[in-house]
Amino acid sequence: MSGTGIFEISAIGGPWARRLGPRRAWIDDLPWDEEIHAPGVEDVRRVWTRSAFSEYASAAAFAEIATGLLAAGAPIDLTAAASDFAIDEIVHCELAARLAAALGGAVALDVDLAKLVRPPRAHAPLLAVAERIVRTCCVGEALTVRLLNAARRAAGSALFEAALAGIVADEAHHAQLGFWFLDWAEGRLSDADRVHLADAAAAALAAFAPLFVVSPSVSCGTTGLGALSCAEFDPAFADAVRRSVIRPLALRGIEVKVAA
Amino acid sequence: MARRHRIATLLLLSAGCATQVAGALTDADGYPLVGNVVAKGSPRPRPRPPAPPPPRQAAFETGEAAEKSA
Repeated sequence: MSGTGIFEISAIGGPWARRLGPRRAWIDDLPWDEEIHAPGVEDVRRVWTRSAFSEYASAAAFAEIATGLLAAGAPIDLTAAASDFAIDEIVHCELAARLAAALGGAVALDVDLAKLVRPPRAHAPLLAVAERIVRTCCVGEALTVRLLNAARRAAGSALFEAALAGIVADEAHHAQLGFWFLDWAEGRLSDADRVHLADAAAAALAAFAPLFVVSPSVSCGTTGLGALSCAEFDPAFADAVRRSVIRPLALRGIEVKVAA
Repeated sequence: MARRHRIATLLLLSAGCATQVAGALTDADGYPLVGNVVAKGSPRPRPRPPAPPPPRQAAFETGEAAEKSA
């Protein structure tokens, strides 16, 4: 598919599968023969299908961050890491797809591949990549680590617990890249730049608001196999925003103002 | 002359003939929410619109309609 449509992913095999092989080998070592008991299977299939797409979009975000770091003259090892993280996310995408398959198959998910990553508002190369990094690493990946850790503890399945542990181990590095970048860029960013980055972080956080709307169309009760009920997700999210996003950004002079 | 590669892609994720479609979690402008925070099982899917008939069937139905109107 291209542009808008139902989300699908495929692999071409041959030398390209062999090249990716060492990076994805740990997926094959997971306990796939486990018998899965899934009372809320529809909810969980939806979670893992959406998870596959989130990882796919994160791969695009890191590919663009790597390009932006090159344009900004950032340290090459940091740039290499960002490029490498795109591969991590592609491996996570495959893993999420296989977990959805293990639960009975993916759900039909409507996506727009032309809109995988929000473009930055800033034009100057350093501030533009800083904006991308704050959104992706300092907000998205920092929240992901905390929430997937909570989902791992509640998984109730050796397969899903091991899968989530593998993903979280990678995502922790992805979040750290953001704060390492900001420490490197400290003397290169102005006070106005920091206000701009705070606004970008606040906007990224505000975009999560629809997750917390109380509605009969929202499924709120499933926990386990990677899903969290609202009673577990909502406080974990609020705590992660405070401790993993707002506080470390404030330490770097980026004061994020969020709506109460 | 270079040999062409025989391509056979392996489908890793496909919803097949699902009757309902869920939306990706996006912001107001249609960009995906950052990170992977989809552990919360919301919102529920909506009915999937029927796919257009394959070209041959469409041609047949068009022909049939033409016969009826004739």
